[in-house]
Amino acid sequence: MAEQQYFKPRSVDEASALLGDHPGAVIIGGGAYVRLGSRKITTAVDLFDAGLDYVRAGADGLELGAMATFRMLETDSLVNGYADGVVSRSVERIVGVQMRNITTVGGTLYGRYGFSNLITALLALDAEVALHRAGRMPLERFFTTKPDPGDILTGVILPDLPWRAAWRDLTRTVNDYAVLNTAVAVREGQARVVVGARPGRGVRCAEAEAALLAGGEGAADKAGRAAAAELEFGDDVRASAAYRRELCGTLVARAAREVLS
Amino acid sequence: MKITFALNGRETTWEIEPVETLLEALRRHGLTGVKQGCDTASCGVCTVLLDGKPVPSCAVPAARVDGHAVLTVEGVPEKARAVGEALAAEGADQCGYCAPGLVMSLVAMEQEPGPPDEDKIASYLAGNLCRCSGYASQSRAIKKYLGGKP
Repeated sequence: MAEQQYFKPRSVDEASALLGDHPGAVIIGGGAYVRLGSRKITTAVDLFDAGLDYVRAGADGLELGAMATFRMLETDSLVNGYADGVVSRSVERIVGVQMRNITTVGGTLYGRYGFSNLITALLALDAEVALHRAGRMPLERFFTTKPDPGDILTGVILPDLPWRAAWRDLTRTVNDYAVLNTAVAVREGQARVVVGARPGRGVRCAEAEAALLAGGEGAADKAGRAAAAELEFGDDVRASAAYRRELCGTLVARAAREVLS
Repeated sequence: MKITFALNGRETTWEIEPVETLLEALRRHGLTGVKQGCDTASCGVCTVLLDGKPVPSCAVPAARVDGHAVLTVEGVPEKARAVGEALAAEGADQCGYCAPGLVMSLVAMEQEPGPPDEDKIASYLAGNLCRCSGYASQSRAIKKYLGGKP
């Protein structure tokens, strides 16, 4: 292995220059899942000191820096006050305080983790990501675009929209990753139903959203049934696909009832 | 590479490998109060405070702490003794391997706003696993420690 280098840039511009000078350099966001010794990382660029660990009210909405931790999302009053606190609820029981102090927004989004609660919550709120070079784009587009290894995710923008939102998940133990998770959000003329840990990552469910928009008697149950029928589920160590499908109907209906009440 | 940081309140410069975790670097330099547990950031045994916040040192690159402050159980000997005595009095410690991490989480919890009631203790310490004693005796011991503080 070549000699290893570890950089801690003090700004995003400095980080960007380092990536330009060191092709193949790996960005260290949270670091929780980066086994430095086991991967062939010759150059690491750690964003810990790059000034991205913020939660703040911006011009277009709530801004979550790429290095904002889950613990910050869990405890920050702005995040708790946004969309019925659904982002805070999505992360507040994950593993433990220690893990939540190192798990970051950017690390989670770049990981595209199927089990991620945060991804499910952000997709339901029309979150945008901000990239240093590519600029802003909807989160879903970020997931379906091939990442530019020279670019840096600087943060997430949650637009100032009057969402009513609710969170539901089921875990086998209190602090485990979810067997299934869902976020439901509604505002005038708009509905979002996102289901994740299927075990694939969170995705929107158009038919369930249509059921919520149609409204009327039993709309929440209809949305649950629609999501269960429409989405793909799989088996893993936590649950079978069949169990997840059943669970999906229940959790989506419960979250939908909460936002419609 | 060299890192300079505040270790238990004292400015410290170490030669480290860029691939080392903070846990590895601490133990290699003799701070063996910090234990290795699951090595996957899940058990809390390796908890230290980084800039006052509890983190799993097994998942923090040692290079990251350059310019920052690290507090380990070696830096809080009086609290460690008091927590240890409370754990022993309630029979909440068998092997004791989880105790240093628990002490550090307690030190951090005491800085948090709000009273340390049962719910707060349970949620704040959920990331510190103990496989010997169960948590009822540990919870009693922690309440005793918090209640008996000067």
